[in-house]
Amino acid sequence: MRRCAALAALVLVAMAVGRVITDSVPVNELATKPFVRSGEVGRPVALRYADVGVTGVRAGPHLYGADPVAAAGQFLLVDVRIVARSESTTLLGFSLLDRAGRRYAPMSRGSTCPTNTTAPAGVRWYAVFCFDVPPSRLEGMVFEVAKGAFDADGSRQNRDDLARIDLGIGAAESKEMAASRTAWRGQFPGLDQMDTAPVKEQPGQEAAP
Amino acid sequence: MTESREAGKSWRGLSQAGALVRRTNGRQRLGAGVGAALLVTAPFGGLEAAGTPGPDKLTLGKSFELGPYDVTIRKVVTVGDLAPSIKPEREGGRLLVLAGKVTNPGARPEFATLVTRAFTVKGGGVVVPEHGGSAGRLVSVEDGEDISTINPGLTYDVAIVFEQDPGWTEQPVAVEVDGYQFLEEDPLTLDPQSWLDTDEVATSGRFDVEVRR
Repeated sequence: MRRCAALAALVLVAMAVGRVITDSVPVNELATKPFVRSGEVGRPVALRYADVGVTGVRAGPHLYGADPVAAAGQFLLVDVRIVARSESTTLLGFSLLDRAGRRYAPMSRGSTCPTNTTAPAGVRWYAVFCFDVPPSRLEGMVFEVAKGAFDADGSRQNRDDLARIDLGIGAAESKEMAASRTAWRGQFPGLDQMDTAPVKEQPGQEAAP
Repeated sequence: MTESREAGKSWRGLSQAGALVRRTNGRQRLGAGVGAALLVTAPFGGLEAAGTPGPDKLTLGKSFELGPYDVTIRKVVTVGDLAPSIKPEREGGRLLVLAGKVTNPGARPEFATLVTRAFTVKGGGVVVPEHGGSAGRLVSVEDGEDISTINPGLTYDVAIVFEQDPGWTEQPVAVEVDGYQFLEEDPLTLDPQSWLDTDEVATSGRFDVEVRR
């Protein structure tokens, strides 16, 4: 009889301890945030699906590709090299973040630059992403790469492996980039390295229709 | 005798009403006054529900809010084409252009379709799409290329372009702009933090069209 009572008391204590644990530890919460890996220009970031690196950053007011386009602010071009690991990988989440946390999307106006890309496995895949941004916000820009698109709230990047690459734009560089009048060539992704030579503009033909 | 009795009755009635008024305070008198005014104006619509306020007036050169954007329309013009970027699809047709500025003052990129979807032009032979949807295109004046997304902090000089029928006649046009409602959660699309077209005209105006031959 005494044994039964002790057993019952033990069960009750175990249940109470279990309740305390489930109340104090968030056992039902799911980890939804992406895994963020930091990097910088010239140093590739190893993500679980690809190695992603920024090889250069350029700025200018005009882009030439299928059709010439002019920036409302200033174009910031990010040269990227991707090596997908085990399979052909589509990456949809390319964006810039400024120091205040504002997000900028890549632009595809004039069919000039990509907004996403599919990298084949095991080979170097090159792309240049073109962002139209206010010239006063260039300092401290960070380039973000993920498999999922950010959309409105980042929910498509839940548990994604995400690279945040500091573009190394300090105060001096941002001034220089904001004042740049160099025109560049927009290109689509491919196996060849991007043509990063400036485009010579004819006077009076600057990206005008 | 009878007349004096009736006069006495009406006098007593008036004095009773006067006594009643003296027993009321200022707030009660005000309420009674408003009630009386409503009764008097009832035959002329005084008891009818107040109508919903109409759309705001669209004024050329004056900025107004359109969902996430600040928009200014400077002028309304019709042109033969905007070659080489845009030409009328129908032979003999023209293009009606709302020229102005669009600014994204927010912290995230926004779709340009929020602008084109909101604008409707009535009159001027503007072609209405057969299957609904937006009739206009949003292009940058700087390079004549379509705009699909506008990043935060940017202002584009824009042309909102509509196609006109070949048989259009020179007449004023009505420009109507739908309002937007910001939804933290949208149970229909499951897209959070989105702008929903209310399908109600929030801003409108009537303008003469500048003709460029």
